[in-house]
Amino acid sequence: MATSGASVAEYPVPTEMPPAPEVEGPPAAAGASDHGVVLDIRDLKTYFFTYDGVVRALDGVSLKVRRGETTGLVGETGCGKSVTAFSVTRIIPDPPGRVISGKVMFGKANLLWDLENEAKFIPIKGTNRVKIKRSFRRIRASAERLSSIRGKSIATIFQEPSQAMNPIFSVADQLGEALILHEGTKVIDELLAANPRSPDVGAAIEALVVAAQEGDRDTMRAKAMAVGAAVNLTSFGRQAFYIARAAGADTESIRPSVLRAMKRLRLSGFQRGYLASQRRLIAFHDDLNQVHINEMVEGKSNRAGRRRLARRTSRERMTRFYYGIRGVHARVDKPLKEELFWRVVGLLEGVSIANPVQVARGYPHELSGGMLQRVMIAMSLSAEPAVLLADEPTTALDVTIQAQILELMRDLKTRVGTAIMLITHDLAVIAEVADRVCVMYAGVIVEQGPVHEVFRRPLHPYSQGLLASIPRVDQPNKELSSIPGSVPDLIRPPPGCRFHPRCAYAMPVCKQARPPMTSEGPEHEVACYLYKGPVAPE
Amino acid sequence: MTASGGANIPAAIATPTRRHRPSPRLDQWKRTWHFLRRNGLALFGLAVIFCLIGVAVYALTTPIPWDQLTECYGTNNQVITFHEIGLPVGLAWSVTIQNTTHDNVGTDVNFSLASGPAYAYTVTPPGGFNAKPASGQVAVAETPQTIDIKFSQGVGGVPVSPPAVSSSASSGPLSCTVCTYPTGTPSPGPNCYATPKGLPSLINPTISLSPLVAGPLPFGALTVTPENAYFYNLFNGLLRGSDYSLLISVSIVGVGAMVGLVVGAVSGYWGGVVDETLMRLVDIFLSIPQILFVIIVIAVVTEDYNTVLGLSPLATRVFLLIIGFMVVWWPFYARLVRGQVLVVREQKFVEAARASGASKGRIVLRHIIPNSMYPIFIQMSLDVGTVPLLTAFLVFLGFRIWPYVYFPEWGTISALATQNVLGYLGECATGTCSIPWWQLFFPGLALFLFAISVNFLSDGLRDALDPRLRR
Amino acid sequence: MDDGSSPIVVSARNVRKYFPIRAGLFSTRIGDVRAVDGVSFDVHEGETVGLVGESGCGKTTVGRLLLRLIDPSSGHTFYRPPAEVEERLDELYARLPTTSEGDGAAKATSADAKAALKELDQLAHQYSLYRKSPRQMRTIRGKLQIVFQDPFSSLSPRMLIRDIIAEPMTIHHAGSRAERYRRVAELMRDVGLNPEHEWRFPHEFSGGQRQRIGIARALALRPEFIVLDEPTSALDVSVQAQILNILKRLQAEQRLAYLFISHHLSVVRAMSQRVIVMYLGQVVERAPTEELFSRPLHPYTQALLSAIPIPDPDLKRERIVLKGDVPSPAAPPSGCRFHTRCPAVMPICSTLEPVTIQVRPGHFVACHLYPAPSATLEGAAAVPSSPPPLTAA
Repeated sequence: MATSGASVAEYPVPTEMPPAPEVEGPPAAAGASDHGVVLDIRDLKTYFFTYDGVVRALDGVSLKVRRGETTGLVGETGCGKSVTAFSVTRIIPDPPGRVISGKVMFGKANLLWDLENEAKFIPIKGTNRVKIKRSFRRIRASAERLSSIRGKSIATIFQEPSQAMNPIFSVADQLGEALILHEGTKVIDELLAANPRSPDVGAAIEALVVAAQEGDRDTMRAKAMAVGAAVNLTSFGRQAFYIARAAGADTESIRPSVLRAMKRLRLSGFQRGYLASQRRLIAFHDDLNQVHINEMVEGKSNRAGRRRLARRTSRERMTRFYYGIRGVHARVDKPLKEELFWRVVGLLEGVSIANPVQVARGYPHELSGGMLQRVMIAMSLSAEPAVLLADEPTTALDVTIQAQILELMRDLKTRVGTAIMLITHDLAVIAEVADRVCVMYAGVIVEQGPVHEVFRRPLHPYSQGLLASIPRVDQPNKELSSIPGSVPDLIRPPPGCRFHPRCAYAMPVCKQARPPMTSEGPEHEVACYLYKGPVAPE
Repeated sequence: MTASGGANIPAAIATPTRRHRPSPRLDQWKRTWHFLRRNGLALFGLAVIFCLIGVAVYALTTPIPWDQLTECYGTNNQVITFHEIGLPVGLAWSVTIQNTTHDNVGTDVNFSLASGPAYAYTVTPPGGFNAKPASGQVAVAETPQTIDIKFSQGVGGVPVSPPAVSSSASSGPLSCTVCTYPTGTPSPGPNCYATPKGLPSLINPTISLSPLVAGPLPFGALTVTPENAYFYNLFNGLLRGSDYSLLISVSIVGVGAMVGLVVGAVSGYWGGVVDETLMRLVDIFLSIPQILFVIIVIAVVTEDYNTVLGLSPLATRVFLLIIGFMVVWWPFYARLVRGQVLVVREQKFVEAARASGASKGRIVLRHIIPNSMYPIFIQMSLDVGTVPLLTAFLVFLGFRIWPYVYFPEWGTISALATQNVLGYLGECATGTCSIPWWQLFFPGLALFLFAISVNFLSDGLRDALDPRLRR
Repeated sequence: MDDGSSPIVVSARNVRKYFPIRAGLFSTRIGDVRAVDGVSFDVHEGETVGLVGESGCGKTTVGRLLLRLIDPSSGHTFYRPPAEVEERLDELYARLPTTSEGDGAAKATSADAKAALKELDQLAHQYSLYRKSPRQMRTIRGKLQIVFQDPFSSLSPRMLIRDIIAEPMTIHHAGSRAERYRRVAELMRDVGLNPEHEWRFPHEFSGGQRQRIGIARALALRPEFIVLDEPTSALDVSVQAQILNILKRLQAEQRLAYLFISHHLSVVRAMSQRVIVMYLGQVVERAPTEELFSRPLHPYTQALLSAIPIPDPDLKRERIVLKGDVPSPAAPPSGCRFHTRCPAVMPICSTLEPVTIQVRPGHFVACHLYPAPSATLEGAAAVPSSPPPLTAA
């Protein structure tokens, strides 16, 4: 994709995989390997308690997401795929929804460790209804714990990008906020270590001016990065490049502009103090997050630790407040804001936006859907998460823009290596981007396996029907076969296998009990009695 | 792999169960009731409103026949002066109205009478004189009157002893006592009226025109003796007042909302010139000061004791009050509806109706209006609580919109109670006193309860009816 | 399969719709959003014409213009013109000068052009939808119907579905009440709904079922032409297949003509006999379906086809990814509107608007890669019965 002509290697994005949490290593199930599993969902059950009854949205969902792999979760509306993603990060609205049981292992940590104690189900005598008694203290504590993971280690991008951003803040502000939350210590350390008085700076600037006179973009970028290296701050290199690019024919103005821009790196003692305080605050947040994670790993609560850190955090906030008041005229946070701005520009470059400076300065309503979705991807990747949950990221976009975004996602997969769980109803998107696919129907997973396997040899009748009913743009099929019937009511789902009322191959045993997942090939599993053999009825 | 937390899932969740679904229409109401039931405040509001409605209905079925209570009009007293002409100085004469005789002071005999169509009067001349007119009828309106009595020397005039004087009252409000008795039994005395079909005397307006002194005793007596001549005991008065509050607020809000709905829908859907004109009309009406307008309407129309549409004076005033408020109230609804209509008219089903060839009128009636009514409901329920406050405020300010001073309406009671309390405050400065705080507190409480229960109920209904709250 | 031999139901000619942009103190008109800028095509009885393009290309507006749900800025849509009138129209339009705005009225200087305009006006008075009186429109409206994209907002939430489906009949006073509701039950059966459910409200149904209700409503007055505005875009894949099958069956049973508007080319391929590709308010390519998909000529069509993801992971394709975003219809690029994103852009593309040329029988393209030869047209002489080329006037 033609952007600014620069090669990928010079973008300042991490080239190594993000550190994954240590894998526990449960006993290997038949066939499935557990190498590099980042997210392990085991028997997740989520029900919604509504007036009309208990909606069994997820009834025992198990899947694994591995590092560097894109797992696609595909199914129709109402099958529970979005609910799965939201149950992992616990953003299901609590009345009426509730995660009933299950384990979500994120490395060694069980994200759902306190589930039994959060809510108790008390049957009401004489009726067949239950009363839910919630312990709000525990629910709040769980929410706090998860908020340290959400956004940082498990990022989510949603379907409607225009609604996911705050319209009154500029793009740079919002992404900068995400950046400072997630890697604030690193940013501040680099900023404090910048050395504008380094002796190589002058020579580097001269080289940049010469390259600008020649007009070759690639060399310009290389020389600008050299300026950044001289100053010991990568984002300054980026800024220098954009200054040179904006100068155009007027190459003589580059030198004074760069020198002017360097002023932001000359921090006064007061500003350094402020930055140090900011760094301490972020460090306390990070420690608090670590306490949360330890709670989830060990499975017991550590209120004393949390309280201690909360106290330290509030004390530090008071100090910062003092800085803020005194610093009104000294513009104490200006260097940080500028630094964040240029890092945001770097992030936007990473998602192949052609004019990142303009976009960063602009507001969400000025951007088109495709652009916004890229910005969302940039925001979620800024934290270098281990898992990215993408909930229908391209459904709201046009076909050509969708192609661009899918291209981007493939690119990021190879470059950054985040594990992606892609939720969509479009099998074609899965075929383009995913490595593994899990087919969901009515709250259960009916088939999962590598993409090539499942598309070439769909085992479950539902997958077969789904693939047969998709109109293909490369084949002149005029007959669209459809699956008879409709999606079942999840309040009273069919007994046994949930697909049996619509299945052409239904057998008597299908009505009796849910078929377990059986392995039918390397890493290819299916839940269907056609592949298990009849079970002796009880 | 065993699931964690599986132990405490009761069977009721683990296995799906049958649920009887009645017809979908009934199901909607049952669902609404289910959610309303879970909202304690809304239930409270509902209970209060139900009680008020019950009381109001009962009170409306046992109305006080004001027009027949000749002695108990109360205020709007006007001074009727009988001026003598042709009588030498120093002679005494008197005039009798309704068994009350006043002697002359100087050249005049003064009566302070409440508004009424016909008071019969008799002039008692001094001995040897004839009066002309010797008797007649005077109608008391809103302005004082002077009636000239010509005295002439009578021939063979016999000093006529004045008729027996019952009681001589000062030119203050007349005092009277009203009581009720069940139909069929003999009337205990004057100014007693029969309660229809012998209904109990729970709502018993025992009225005396002495100032408010009594406490909030709930039950009135069937008969009344001069000793326990209370002002209508406070509780009864408050209960009686509820029907007027409800009647006035419901009719104002109901009709105002309907007019506003139609205007807003037409204006919003038609757009263009129609929209502009109607909105300017709305602006004009919005700029009318509400309370002032109502006061002026009532004052102007009921001047000289006029009535409208053949209604009784009380009914006239109620009617004018409702009309007056309606005129200034509907613009709010029009604006609200117009905003909603602008949204609804972009919906696809409106386009579908146009594609089917529906006329604009049909679209507005069948599609736009039913779907724009949501914000109106909320505003209506809020207004039902606000309107009686306004009415009470009006009366409280001192504008006598009711023809009778001791009319049992919450605002009136509060106004009288304020005067009372202020009067007592003067006494308290000197020494011991007991301020009848309850006379001011309970009417205020009644207004507060009314407004707040309407608000609670409307909140609860809105939450229960909102399809977006996933329940 | 209808290829021009069956009668034409609607024929759009040079239809344009400009929406004024108002700004400033007195809401002065500072420009126009050129939503539809000179679109011409025919729809024959019993055939499905697919209209594809991305969001902002004006296809939805075209659908509404064809039904006169909005009035155009210029141009005509002829309703059921007889065959000889249709030929006459082609001749008349050929005599008008090429222009990028209006019907050439301002530029008609020659006597020939003026006479052509006059006769065109007379024919329009007779057959054009936009010249019909409100009463005439009322009768015609039943024949021209629309099914919307969003099954959630296209049904009035406060009406029972029996009333929703009966509404077109009620408006036109078709039959007695009893007859109308009998037909409601019949229509519901036709689209595969259980007639017992007629006493329910729309929100009690799923998306696919609501779309069926919308189709039933459109069929109420026995239409001849239905505009299907993205009818399955909001639905799941398996439901989509069911709805498309229903539509096909109804078309065969009742000889309906469809204008299938969609941005899913795969669905369009499965449903239509002819396809029209639009970009920023103009038609860039028109062809029979198989022809378009096997030999796309316009660069935009090629990019569109290559951008669509295919549900086959083993198939590796060379993908043309366009750079940039769709320009705003308020400020369209000069010359060929696609030149800012075109991978095959030439200097002439930014200055001159391309002319629509018939490259193969029935296959029309507007692109400078296929310039109008001054002599005979390639392929046109070989098939005498195909209509003469329409100029881009």
